[in-house]
Amino acid sequence: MIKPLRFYPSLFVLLSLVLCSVLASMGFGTAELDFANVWQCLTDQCQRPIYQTILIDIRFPRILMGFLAGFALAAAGALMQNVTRNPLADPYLFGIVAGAGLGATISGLLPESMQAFSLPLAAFLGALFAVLIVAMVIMNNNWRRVEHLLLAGVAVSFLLSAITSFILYFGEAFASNRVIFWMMGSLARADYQALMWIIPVILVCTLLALLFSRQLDALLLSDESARTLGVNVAKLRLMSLIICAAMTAVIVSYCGGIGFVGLMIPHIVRPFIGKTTAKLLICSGIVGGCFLIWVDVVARTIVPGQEIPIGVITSVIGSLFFLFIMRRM
Amino acid sequence: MTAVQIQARDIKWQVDDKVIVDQVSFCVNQNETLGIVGPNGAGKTSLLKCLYQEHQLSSGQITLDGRALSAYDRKAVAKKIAVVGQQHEAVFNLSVLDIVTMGLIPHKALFDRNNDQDRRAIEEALAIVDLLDKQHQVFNTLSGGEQQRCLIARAIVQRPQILIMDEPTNHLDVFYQHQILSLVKKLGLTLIMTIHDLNLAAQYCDRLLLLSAGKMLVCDTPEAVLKAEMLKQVFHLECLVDQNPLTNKMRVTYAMHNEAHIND
Repeated sequence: MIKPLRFYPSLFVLLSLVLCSVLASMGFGTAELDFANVWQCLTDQCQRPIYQTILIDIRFPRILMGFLAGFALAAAGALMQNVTRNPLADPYLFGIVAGAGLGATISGLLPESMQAFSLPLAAFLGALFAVLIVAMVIMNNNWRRVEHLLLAGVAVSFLLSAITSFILYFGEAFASNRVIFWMMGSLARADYQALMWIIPVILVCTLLALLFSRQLDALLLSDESARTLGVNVAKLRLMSLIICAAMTAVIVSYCGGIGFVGLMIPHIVRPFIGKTTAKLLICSGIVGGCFLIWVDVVARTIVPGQEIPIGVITSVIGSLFFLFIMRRM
Repeated sequence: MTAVQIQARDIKWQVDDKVIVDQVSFCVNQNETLGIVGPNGAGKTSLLKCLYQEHQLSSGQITLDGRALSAYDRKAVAKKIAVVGQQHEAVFNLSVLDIVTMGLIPHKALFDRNNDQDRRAIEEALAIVDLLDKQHQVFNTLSGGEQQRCLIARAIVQRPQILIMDEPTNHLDVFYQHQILSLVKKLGLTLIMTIHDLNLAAQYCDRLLLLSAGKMLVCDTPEAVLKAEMLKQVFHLECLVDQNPLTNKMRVTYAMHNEAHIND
């Protein structure tokens, strides 16, 4: 058993790690810019105007997007694991990726004249559609059992994936490729306009979850135990579902499916920091953010001149991580 | 004269057509200890769950301090009634401190943070149950008795007037059974608990409520409830009821099980 670390010193270390990761990762990319150039750009003036464009307009929003995506997915994963008391729960549990995939597929395969929505908006609407179906299914069961939530999520996820596969199978090959590539996850769509949408959603959702963290902790023992402490379990679970759905949907809409972050990061953080919601959520978010910044660096640099889908790398790392955990059990 | 704190009138709880608690009426006075006894499947735990609104009544009414229990909001009930259920398995290796801190929840508004007074209350509760030195230990690694004491500490932090306990002595050895029951008696709360061991019930309860097949047979002092004929009728066992010379409380001694009664 690992002795949990003190929260505030750990938070300080993690925030320092974020700062270092952001600064260091700005030096990686196709354009050859060494750290001296980066440092000069940040502290004084760029040697060449193109450096300014590369760093401020291309790399910085992408790094910020990477951090936010990792933060949102890991925090949503931590929230879902605590709310469902299931260590295998993750933010994609409610068919969000499958729903977003369906939205993106429909949008991507329509003739251009009929593409009323951009791909991120269509993906977001698809994700909301999936969550709505899951919520309707479990509300019919009065929210009494957490298993209903998990089963409804899995069922909706498979159903929407099947519909997506069906459409892609009959779709036009080039458009299908585009959608499939999007589903593998990428931060290439990062720009300041996207961040203007993402930052407020993640900020509000995180603050809401932290505000209710005491009630969320009560769920860790059992639903009945939480009710005896005056917690309205059904409402709290619905609110958590909405928080997770909003955070995940907004990320998936812009970045596609980035698997395993929400599942893996809370597992790494929990033994070191603690199990209670507020600490776990904040620290998982920060670790998840740093993790995705570096995964994106790998995605951009491992094959010269080409970008590897970020979801492929997180899936490889995630599956190896769980095999490692299994060996230790 | 002691005030009636909880009153149940003709309460009934059923699942589909199966009646689990059938027209039960009783009252619990302030600072009194009521033991709910009866054979397995008699509806003891279900009756308790009706009292803390985990089960919604099919009919009848429960009043708390003279007001219908259903008229209280969830948080107000939690400020008055604490529940120590049967043994829990905590996920994610929660520590003793994590669990005891949960007792603050009914008293905290959304923006409240834990203050020094809360921390003192938690420490005092841990000291009362003698778990101060184990506050950082993982709940699941505690012994059964320690787990019960941890949940009692959570109940103390909750500052209730009434403590409801479901089989508090289950799986505990004789030492821990007496330790737990002495501990909760010392808290000076109104205590309602289900209990299997009739001798413990006689020793620690002011009154006993005997349930059989969901119906209340009697609710009275241990001397009035623990009658050999009554117990034979409910538990299908011959028994001798006399006075324990050590405690001067009622004592039940059972005869050997007669196989002829298996199919009774």
